Amino acid sequence: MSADLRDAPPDRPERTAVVTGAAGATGAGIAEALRGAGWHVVGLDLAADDAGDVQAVDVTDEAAVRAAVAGVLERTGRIDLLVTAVDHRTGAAAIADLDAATWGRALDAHLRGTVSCWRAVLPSMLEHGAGSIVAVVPAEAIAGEDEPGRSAAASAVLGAVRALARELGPEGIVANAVAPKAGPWSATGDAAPADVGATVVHLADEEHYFAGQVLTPAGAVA
Amino acid sequence: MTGRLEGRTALVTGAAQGIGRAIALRLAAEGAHVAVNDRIASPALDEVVASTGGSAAVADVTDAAAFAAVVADLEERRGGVDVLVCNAAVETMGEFLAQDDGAFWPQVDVNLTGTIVGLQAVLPGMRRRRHGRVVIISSVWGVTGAPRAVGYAASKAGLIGLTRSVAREVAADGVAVNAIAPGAIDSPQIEVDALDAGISLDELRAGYAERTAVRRMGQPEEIAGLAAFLAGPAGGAYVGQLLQPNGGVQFGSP
Repeated sequence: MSADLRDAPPDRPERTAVVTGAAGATGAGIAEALRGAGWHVVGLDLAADDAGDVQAVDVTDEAAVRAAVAGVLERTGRIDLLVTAVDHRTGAAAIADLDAATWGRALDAHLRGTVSCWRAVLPSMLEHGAGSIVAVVPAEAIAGEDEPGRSAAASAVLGAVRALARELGPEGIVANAVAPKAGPWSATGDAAPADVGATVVHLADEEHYFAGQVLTPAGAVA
Repeated sequence: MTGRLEGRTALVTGAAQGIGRAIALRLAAEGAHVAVNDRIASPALDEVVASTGGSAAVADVTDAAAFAAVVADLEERRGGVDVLVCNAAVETMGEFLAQDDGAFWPQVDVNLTGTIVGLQAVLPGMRRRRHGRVVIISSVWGVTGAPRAVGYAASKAGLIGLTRSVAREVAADGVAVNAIAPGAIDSPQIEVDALDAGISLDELRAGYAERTAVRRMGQPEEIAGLAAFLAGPAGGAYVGQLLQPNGGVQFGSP
């Protein structure tokens, strides 16, 4: 991570993050953790929230995403961090019973919804020679549990993250994934949104050497 | 800097130089009392003790009795070890069949057995107090393997299985055990690699950087930041994980 990504110049007291899936528990936890660390956070989700923290955008609609990102860039001049935290449940089903429309919806939400956001923010990040991309995918999905459509689509995102890390790493773009999972030691049976948020803050704020990696918080021990 | 480790006591092995030194400095900056371990007393060790405001903890990690005495002393003086960082390691390059026992086995003794010694010394107290963090420093070569580094790679791979197994036994007691597998870090250890390859340090650095996605080597401070994260409150969300800060030279399992 380059120095100018960590240290905002005086005329940019806050760094800007865009978080998709921001109305979901995980996305909201990430946005809250980033705000707590001093970031300016723009949340995107299918529906806006009353507080004005979340803006209504369908991330599978590439034109809508471009328009939303253009609006953010107009206000802030720069997007330092993009976190995509979209999840799409397809429901448990045998692979043989999955219809094309269900596969398509899963791939649209996970892969198209992630890549369309990358395409919208990357030109500006490349212009500045720095940017951080974090894709959040459910670990139980990439482990192939229960929902084959969701599993295939979430795993596709990981392949895309690795390709992005390799392709644009030399240009200063740092891409990684976070895959929260449910640890048996977790009191809530799930990775707490705050724990996922802490991991994203580490990737966003800390000098680190991760590229194309998957970090897996799994719900806190004491 | 946030004081995530205020009031905690951390024991860092092999902390007189390189990654271990950087970790000791970072944990101290986050508020921890750092017991700085190394095999022998040295000016380098004294410097780290002075810089951290911590204490010297001289013991060879392969000497279970000596290491247990260090931990017993910390339990008496500080109420216990809250954070153990197992970093002490040796590396001797050379073709597998050409290495004699004296070259090969110390890598397993220090890197793997030494870590087991550390775990056995601190885990009872951590479980009793129902809180603990252990950060084990593995290596990208423990994931990928590496020719001319068979003993080193085997010891570092062993640490991964050790981490994943011990972590599951102690998680319910509030103890989080995780491992970091750094890629090519610009620390004194790379002098061993350069000497073996018969090239200059700068040539070695350029070669390592070129193989990564981010086109640079990592810094000891980057591993130290991650160790501090895992040693702090948020680190409790990680159990038996292998974190791989390697600049994108290797993704996931080979």
